[in-house]
Amino acid sequence: MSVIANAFMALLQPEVLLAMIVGILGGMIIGILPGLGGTIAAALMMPLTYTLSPTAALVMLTTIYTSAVYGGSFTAILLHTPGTTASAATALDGYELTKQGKGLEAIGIATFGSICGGFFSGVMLLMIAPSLSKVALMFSSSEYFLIAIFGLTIIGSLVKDAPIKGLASGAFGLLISTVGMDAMTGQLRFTFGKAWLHSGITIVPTMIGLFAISQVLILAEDWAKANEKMFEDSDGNLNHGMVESMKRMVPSGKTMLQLLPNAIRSSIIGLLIGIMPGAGGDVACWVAYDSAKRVSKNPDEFGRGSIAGVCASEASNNAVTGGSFIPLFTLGVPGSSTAAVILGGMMIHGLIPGNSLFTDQADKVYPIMIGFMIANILMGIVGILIGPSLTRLAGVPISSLAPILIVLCMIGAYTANGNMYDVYIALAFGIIGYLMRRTGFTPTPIVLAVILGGMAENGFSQSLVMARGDVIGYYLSRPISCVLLVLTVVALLWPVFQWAKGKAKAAKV
Amino acid sequence: MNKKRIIHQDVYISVLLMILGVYLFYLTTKMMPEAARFPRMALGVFMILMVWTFVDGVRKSIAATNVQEKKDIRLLKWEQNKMPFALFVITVAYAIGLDFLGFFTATAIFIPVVMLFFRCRNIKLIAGVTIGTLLFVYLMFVVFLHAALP
Repeated sequence: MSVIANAFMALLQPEVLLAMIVGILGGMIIGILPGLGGTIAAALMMPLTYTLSPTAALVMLTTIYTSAVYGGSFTAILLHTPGTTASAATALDGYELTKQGKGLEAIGIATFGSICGGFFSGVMLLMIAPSLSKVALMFSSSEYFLIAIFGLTIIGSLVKDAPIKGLASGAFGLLISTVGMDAMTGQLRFTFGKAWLHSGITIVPTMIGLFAISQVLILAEDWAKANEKMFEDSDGNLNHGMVESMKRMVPSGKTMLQLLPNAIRSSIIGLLIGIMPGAGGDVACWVAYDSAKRVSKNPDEFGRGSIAGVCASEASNNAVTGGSFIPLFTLGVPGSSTAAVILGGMMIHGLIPGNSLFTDQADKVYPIMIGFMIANILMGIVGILIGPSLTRLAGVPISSLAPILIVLCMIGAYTANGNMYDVYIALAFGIIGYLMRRTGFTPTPIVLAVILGGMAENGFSQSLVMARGDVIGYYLSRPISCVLLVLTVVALLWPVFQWAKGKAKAAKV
Repeated sequence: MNKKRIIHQDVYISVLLMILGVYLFYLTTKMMPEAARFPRMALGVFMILMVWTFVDGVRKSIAATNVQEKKDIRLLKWEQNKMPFALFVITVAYAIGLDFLGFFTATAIFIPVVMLFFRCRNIKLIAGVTIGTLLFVYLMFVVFLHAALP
């Protein structure tokens, strides 16, 4: 209990509170901007965390994630342009409500759903993660190798339409992780005689390049389309006084009670999907939406402006955020690309996932988890106060947005280590990321592999020593290794099976 | 009937990456066996997946050649990509500028150039975005976070 009390005390530090507020505003603003989401928000705002304490830094990063998902709902509802893919289902009914002149009410319902989902997932994170982390105590180096491979396999293989390319991206990322001096032998690998590569490829510039710079290049490709006036379809029902707006946005007690079972069910769906690596808010919002429709007494309302549809979608996508932290904090396996960026942030601030995070570093991780819960409530309050005004940011033209984003990318890459080489690394990964996304590859497995590559290689090398020549026998003699091997094989074969099934179906048609 | 041969981009990509893979494998031959083991494992998996991508690309090419009505086969087109590539070149020039001119001078040039590149002709907006960004960066990173800028 004293851990929880101490966590609350830690959260009262001005630095942590400020980090939370900055995280909420930054996450919401970036979430509102179409084309940008939590991953880019976390990568872009990473430099702000360098000078912060680990607790404040991680509170900011986790807050950014949930706020970006919430921010995406504003443009989904008011402009029919989901700020993030996780709000796609919200747009369906939310925009219908806007057309009926109930845009602010829909935002109120989305806020209620987001708070429920995010808070619920935070509570579950606090309850499940410390117990689950004890599983990590049973892991030796061989299991850490398999955990890294399993994480990569599942993230890579869940790439829609192109699982092979997803896996290839992961293998390429593992290669990148070997650049620099080998920890075991001191051998320089793939450094091409460049001294600045001796310490390897730094993760922050890699993430900034692959996620943020590549996204700016994609925005440039679509700029003519994206530069269209985005408010043309809005009915302008935002033009009320602040007090009147707030009155319309806060749902009545009766409405909240009616929606509570829906919010809880959708939060559970979001939590479970968030725990599964690879599946994210974009999957959860549709599953929860469909589930709410099936149990609804008025299923015909769905798609025509149902508040239950908005609530289900928003509760589930915010519950995904806390869910994805459970495998991240306990095993080091991120459940989404944003969680992968946050894992990078954890490494930078010396927070190592696993049981020690909940024992040796309990003074840091408990405030982070409780801070995440509180941030979900604060996020809703901020959303009601200034959310509709922030929505106007969605109309910022690409001509203004692109240079600002690039400047922030350059600062982020440079301040990682204070050298220009990292800026060039970010640029190189920016163009690689752009080409990858345009050719059906995906950058997330690369980032994950760069983060987990070191752990995988160390685990593999150590298990080779312990195996004394019989590697296969050694792995098969360890029950946890066997389970992880089976899971990896299933994760590898499942998308191939799905892909082959899809092809056979297409051939029939 | 004249069929125009189409080669899917996956064929080019996989061939290029396989060549890169062979070169990296060659580099591992100069390493100590213990140090080369893990990169070779990753390379092995990577090469297998590239062969798979190549075969799939060939299949897609044959299918695209045989179908009269060309559907979207995700070919990279210059027309589609010239804007991002041009922006990338400007960004590389900006990075070099950061090295030689320093952050504030290079950024004060870069932002108006990019805005003009995106056909923004509103001088007040260009000035506002440039000054606003520089002010924000100065206050946030220099004054508040004490971060070193290029």
